[in-house]
Amino acid sequence: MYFRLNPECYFIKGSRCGAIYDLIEGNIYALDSEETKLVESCEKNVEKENKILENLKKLCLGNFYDKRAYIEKLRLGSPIEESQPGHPPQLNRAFLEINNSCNRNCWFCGYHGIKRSWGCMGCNKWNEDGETLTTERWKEIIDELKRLDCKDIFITGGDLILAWDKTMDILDYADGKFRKIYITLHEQSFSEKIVKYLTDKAQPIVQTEHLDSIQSEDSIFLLTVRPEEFKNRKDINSKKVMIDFVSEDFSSLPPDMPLTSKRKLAKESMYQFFHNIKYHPCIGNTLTISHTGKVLPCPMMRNHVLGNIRDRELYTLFENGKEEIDKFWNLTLDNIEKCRDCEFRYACNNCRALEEKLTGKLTGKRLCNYEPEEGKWL
Amino acid sequence: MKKIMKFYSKSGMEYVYDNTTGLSFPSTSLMERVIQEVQGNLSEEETVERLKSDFNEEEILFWYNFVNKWSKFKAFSSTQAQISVEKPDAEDVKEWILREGLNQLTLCATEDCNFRCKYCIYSDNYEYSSGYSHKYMDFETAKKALDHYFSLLEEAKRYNPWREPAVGFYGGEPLLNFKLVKRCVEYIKKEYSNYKILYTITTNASLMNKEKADFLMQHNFGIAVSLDGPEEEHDRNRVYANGKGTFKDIMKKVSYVMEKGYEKISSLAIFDWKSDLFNLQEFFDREDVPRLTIISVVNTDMGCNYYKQFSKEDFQCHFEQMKKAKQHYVEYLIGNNLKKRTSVFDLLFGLSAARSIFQTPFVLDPSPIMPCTSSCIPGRKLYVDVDGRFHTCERINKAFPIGDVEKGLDFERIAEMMGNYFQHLDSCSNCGVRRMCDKCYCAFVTDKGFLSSSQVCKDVEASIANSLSDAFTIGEINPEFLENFSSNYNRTLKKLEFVED
Repeated sequence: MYFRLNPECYFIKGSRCGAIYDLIEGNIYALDSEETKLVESCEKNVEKENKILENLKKLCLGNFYDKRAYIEKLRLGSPIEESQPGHPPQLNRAFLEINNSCNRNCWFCGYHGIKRSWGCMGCNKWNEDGETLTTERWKEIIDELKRLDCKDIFITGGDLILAWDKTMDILDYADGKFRKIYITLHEQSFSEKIVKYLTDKAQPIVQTEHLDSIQSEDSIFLLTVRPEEFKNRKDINSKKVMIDFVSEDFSSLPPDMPLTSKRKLAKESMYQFFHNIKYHPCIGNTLTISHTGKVLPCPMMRNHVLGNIRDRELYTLFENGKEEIDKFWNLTLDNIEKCRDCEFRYACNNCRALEEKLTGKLTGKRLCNYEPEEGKWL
Repeated sequence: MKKIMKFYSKSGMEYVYDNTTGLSFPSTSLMERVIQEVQGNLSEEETVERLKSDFNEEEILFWYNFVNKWSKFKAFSSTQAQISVEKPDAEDVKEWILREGLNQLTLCATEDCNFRCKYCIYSDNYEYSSGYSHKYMDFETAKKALDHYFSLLEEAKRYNPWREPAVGFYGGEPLLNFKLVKRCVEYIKKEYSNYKILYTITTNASLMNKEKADFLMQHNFGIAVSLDGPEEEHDRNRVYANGKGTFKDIMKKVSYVMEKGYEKISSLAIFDWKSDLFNLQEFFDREDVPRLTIISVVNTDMGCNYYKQFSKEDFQCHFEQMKKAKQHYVEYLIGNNLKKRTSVFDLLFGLSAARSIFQTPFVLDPSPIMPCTSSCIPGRKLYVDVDGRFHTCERINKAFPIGDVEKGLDFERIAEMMGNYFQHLDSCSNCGVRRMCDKCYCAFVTDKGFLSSSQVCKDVEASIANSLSDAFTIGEINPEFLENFSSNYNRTLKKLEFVED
């Protein structure tokens, strides 16, 4: 009998072990090295019968056939169509840094050079000079993003309250032009008036250190936490809370951190899986436009400037800079140290900005407790 | 309405095709029974209870869970979404074209030709097509077409800065108007030097003397030569107006280019029911023959009468030969992989198998602007006739212009044409193989309008079941072959800078 995985189940091999990704249920099944060899040979149409395979069948991950079968794998779109040259860039997200001013002095701000695991979602002030883009230029950029079919935009700063009229003007202009608009504000900047204004216009992301200061039922919270304090936090158990770990150097991390342990693996939608095969899970299809018009792959990667669109249209960056953009967008985890040997690489997120700061290398990796060569979590 | 279609590979393995997802699944009689129960909203326990007298309980549970899982995509559902027949919004059409279209401007340099190929679309064998004429495009018309194309590109680059635009020359025989070809290339170099343009030409090559060949090579043209095979095959249909064969003249011209080591020259071959496929296979494997990129049977669209000349015996002979060739090819695939050079059989059987599986868009909803059939959105490319009218492509007759060089591309006209087309797709809403449809406008156009899909799509399910059967037979023997074929083929086309439809 031939055992084959179902069409929705992808077998991904690491250097020692493997994993089965069930793209419909979103589950990932870790295989030890023996199971990996077994599934690998089954997928090559070698006849096998085995208790392990029977268990996989019970989990509805595969089935036995009395003849060789061709299993057409679940895919999205038309692979032949997609391989044709000349498709437009797939710009999914754009971060727009409207201002760079703030009167607070938050300990976790990018200004201090401290390292954050989700800094892109938060507000940051930067030690950078330069004239801020005008409202008119931002409106043009909105139009340019729309023409490039950008899906979602994230409006951030500085403290946007210090440029609130400008922010509202830009937000009103962007309203209805994108699939989703997000806006990041410090919790202290929220008021009932602002919450009311943002309703149906933009999804607030609240930069906070305390979950007891809930401002709106609809808000997403970016909770800033030191790694050593994480295990004592009992209030973090909600889909609407993103945890931003902040540290000077991320050394001596507690075990079982979502940043480094098995908990970093997300239940995976098939859209994310297929995205991760072609692009970096985070910076893939993402751009940031700073307050002075610099274009960066990510708000936290300040040293990688792809160009400046103060005086030129955004599309020109794509026109002349495909290779440079692809260098970041196509940086799948197949290209990252250690990740390339890991069977979980398509279910894993990582912050390239943070890893680069910690290792000094764009393809470096430090924040992971899994050893693919041994197939063990440390 | 039956939406689930069964087919069998050569080994006897049963599969079902699901039109909601575009995927095919190995199936059993139990799977079909479970699908019925799930469609009837039975629970797991109820399904087991109902089927356990005929089937093993473990098997029932597996298929129940499998069908339920896939029901998240509405797979195996007994209903499917209806097709909208509304005319699309002209602004949406324009935005689509600016983002995804304008891939090539093809100029019909002339409707004249020094050949009289027996199957030519301009011959008397095609009721809905115009015949040969002696019209030549003048440079003024070409210039206006180029100016309009580049002005659209200028706007469109804001939507797609990664577009790779191409300018192609077609006919009749475009080298009869080589002066125009030269002037156009020089004009583009002078006025639009900031664009990187891919040039292509489809030619019978008989007029490709040294001067012309050098020019084409110097400007990196993708040269597609119509070549039907070895001398006796080629000269059976591709003849001068006086009936004399053209093979020797063409091969002399082609040899000059091949000996220069120029790689961007390819062959386009046509065959009919009298063609010897094994001879073609051997011929196109030769290193001194330009790589074959397309081989197709004589076009059956556009009111075709070409096949009336053949007898039942001719067809039977051809059918047997196709079967034998396919068998030979499939046997070759056992334990063998892609050869470096794409062969006739690769294109006839391998490519069509790969396309049966990988051309179909999986799971994602089709474009709301073109919800079914393989028809492109006019403007994906632009074909300009000798009189300066724009058309969807070179294969559609002149009954459906979409603009002209004076007024430009007419987005409202395009939207109207599409709306008219949709109105004729009377059977598509209920079609059980809609996702796999490979029919384009060519199949539907007459000289006065569109045929309906109920007129055009006869036996379409049986035909697709056959294609899938072939594809899955190959997939069972050599799955890597199928998966690698289409990407290797696309790499070859890119290397030849061949712009495929």
